[in-house]
Amino acid sequence: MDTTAGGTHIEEIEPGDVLARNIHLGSRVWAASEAFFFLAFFFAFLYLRALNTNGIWRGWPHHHPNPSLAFGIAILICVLACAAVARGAASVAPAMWRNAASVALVLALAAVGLQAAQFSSLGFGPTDGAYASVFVGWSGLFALMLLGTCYWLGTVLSDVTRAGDASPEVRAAAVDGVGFVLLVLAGVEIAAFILLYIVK
Amino acid sequence: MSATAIAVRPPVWRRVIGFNMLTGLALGISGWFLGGWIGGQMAVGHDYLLGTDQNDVGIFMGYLFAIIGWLVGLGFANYPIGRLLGRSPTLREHETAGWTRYFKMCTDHKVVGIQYLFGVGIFFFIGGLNAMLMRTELLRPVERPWPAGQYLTLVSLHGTMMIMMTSAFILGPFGNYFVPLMIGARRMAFPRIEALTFWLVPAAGLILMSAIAFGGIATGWTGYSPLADEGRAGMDAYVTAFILIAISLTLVGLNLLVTILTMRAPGLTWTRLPIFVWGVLATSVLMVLAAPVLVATMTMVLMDRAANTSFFLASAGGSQYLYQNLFWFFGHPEVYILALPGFGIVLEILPVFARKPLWGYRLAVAGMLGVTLLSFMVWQHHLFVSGMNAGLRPFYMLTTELISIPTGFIFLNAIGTLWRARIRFTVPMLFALAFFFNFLIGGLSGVFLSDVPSDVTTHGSYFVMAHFHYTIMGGLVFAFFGAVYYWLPKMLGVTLNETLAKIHFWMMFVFFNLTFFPLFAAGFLDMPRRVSTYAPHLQVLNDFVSASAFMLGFSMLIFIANLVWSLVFARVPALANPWASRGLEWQLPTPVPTENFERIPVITSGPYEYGVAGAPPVADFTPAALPAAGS
Repeated sequence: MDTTAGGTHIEEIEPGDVLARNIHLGSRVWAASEAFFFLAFFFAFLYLRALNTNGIWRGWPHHHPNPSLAFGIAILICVLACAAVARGAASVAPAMWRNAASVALVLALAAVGLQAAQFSSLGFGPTDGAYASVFVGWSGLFALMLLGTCYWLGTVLSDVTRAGDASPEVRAAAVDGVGFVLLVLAGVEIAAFILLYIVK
Repeated sequence: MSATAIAVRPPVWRRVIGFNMLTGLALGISGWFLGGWIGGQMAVGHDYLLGTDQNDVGIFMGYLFAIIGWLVGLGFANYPIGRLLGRSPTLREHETAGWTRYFKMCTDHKVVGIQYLFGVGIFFFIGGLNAMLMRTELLRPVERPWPAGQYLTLVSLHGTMMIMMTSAFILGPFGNYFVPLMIGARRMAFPRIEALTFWLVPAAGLILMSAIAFGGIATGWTGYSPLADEGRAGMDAYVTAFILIAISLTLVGLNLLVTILTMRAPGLTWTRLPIFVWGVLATSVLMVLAAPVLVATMTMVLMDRAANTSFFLASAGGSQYLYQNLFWFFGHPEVYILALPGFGIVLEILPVFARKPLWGYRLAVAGMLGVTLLSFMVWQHHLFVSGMNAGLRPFYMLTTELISIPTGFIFLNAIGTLWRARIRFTVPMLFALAFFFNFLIGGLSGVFLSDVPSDVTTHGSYFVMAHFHYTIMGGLVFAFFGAVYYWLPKMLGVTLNETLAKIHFWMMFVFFNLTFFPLFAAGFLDMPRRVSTYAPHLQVLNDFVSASAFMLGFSMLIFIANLVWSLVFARVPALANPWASRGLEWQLPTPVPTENFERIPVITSGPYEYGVAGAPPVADFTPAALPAAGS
């Protein structure tokens, strides 16, 4: 155990395998929590669509929300590619992690940027019926969640770039963990694409 | 790891000015005004944001920035920013000695446990005061002394505060403090997240109380739409507070789950795991899966109120039934988030004072896991009278009734353990026994509510209110106090006054039953919940209940007096193991060292082998080799 000069910060050296297992399992549990978070929107979509209260699931008469499919496909591709790269990084040599994390980070940020761009030219607003509500809520919160995962990717990138004090197994667990979470988010995005852009 | 922590304490001015609660409050208040201003600017030009006489965007942005300021002031941003800038991953912060560590972010699980105990306790006390005010109103059948709207806000604040705080009531203080000790670990898996989960709780409590300044809460604790969509700005406080608590619960669950699964000491097999830890494990599963749904649901309410979406507004294509479904998908597992740790505590206490092994250990584990699984399949019984599909009613009636079977296992365990035992009627044991008495009444009355015909006639009445108070207060709160009297000597290092403790118990037990049992009758006599007036012929009954409730409240003052007396004035040092318990946590010295264990112990037998001839000690604390935690 080490103590910094200030005396208020104590660092602990602990077997790397325990930390690595914690990160590994923690990422799985976190991914499950995220999946259940979006399960609420999945349920809202199916429930409200089935009810079609007052016949305005798809908005008011003569004004049906119709989000741009091009944006939807572009966002989907970015998310899938990001997840593939981040998840694939776990199975390549550590020397490749820096490049993989950089690419995944750029793709994730691109997906968030595209979502913001789509919102700025959506052609309808959250007030335009239940479908519009689910679309705006699900897509917006997904982008926020992805942005949060970008932070984690950023720390991974920072670690592998500087090759700091983290042990190799902890670094590997972080790469594996963030890749798994992105994989689950990609699954959520596939469901969102099918429901929000195709089924409607 | 060497255990040579050198704690160089900074000067007092540095401790006051640095990252701590005071700074958090200052930045939180500043953030509130900044966020409110930004929200106001965002709303300009958007007619639908300004369609009412209140700017919900400004209020939500105010809360958001207040929360950010609060956390930044406590120092939670330092490490994440440092990590992005290449700082090495670390596990511990501010684990220095001294009282100031209780007012700042600290990653010692024992400090967090004590922070939870007092933090949640304060909000529990406030929620209790609300109950006293409600019973004051109900002394007379007319709207005196408060008008109906204010009474409803009192009801809502009481219910919301109690549900939010009791969710963290056991896992917060006792889960955080004792799980690492009981599994032979030196810390939790994610200490910084552990600290975060606590500091979100006071933020949520303060934000909830701010509802009083914004027109109150008209919905009760369930926050049903469309009333929630139409309510005054106090609903914004309700929504924000619930989101914070749900995030906290999710992270508590994640942390405890990972800790238990990966950091058990060598030899601590699943069949040797203390039953309280099993309860925590089962609760954690519920937390990580159910609480995120609450976050999503409250976010939908937030969007309905601030961005004019229509998730729950039938007039614009939404449905209020969607809210009920989503809320109770969280809400019913929440009941077991409250109950399961209580089961764990009472089953932990019984063998110690019965001096017998826990009867049916595997049955108890099966019961807890069975409750966990079934609790996700019962939520629609809350919608029996809401216009749900009639064809679904029998299924949910059946699953709700089924859940009484694994719950019954816990009673079997208790009966088997107490059978022919030489019981020591200590204060923790008294609370544990009272738990079973109360929970039995709560459980039996629950059967009436799971049956469609009887639920239809009692729904929304005081019968329901009496039922859930018997399960939550009669169950969880009695288990909590059992845990307080059982574990406080280890946590705080002092012995509580036993005479005062017994007075507290008997007053609480007697007046709890005198308060809530008559309310079953009030329910059968058609007295509705959440209404400040009632039929004049019910006044005698209500006056009796109010008088009992005041005495119940007084019993809490006795507990507080005992705590203050024992902690401040008497200060009788606690023995290391005053109950002669086999629990691993009791084998440690009091106070527990910062590192918990000098060496990670090797577990050599189960924790409940009381009276078993030749049973080995529970652990070897000086193993020849030094194994890693969790290996």
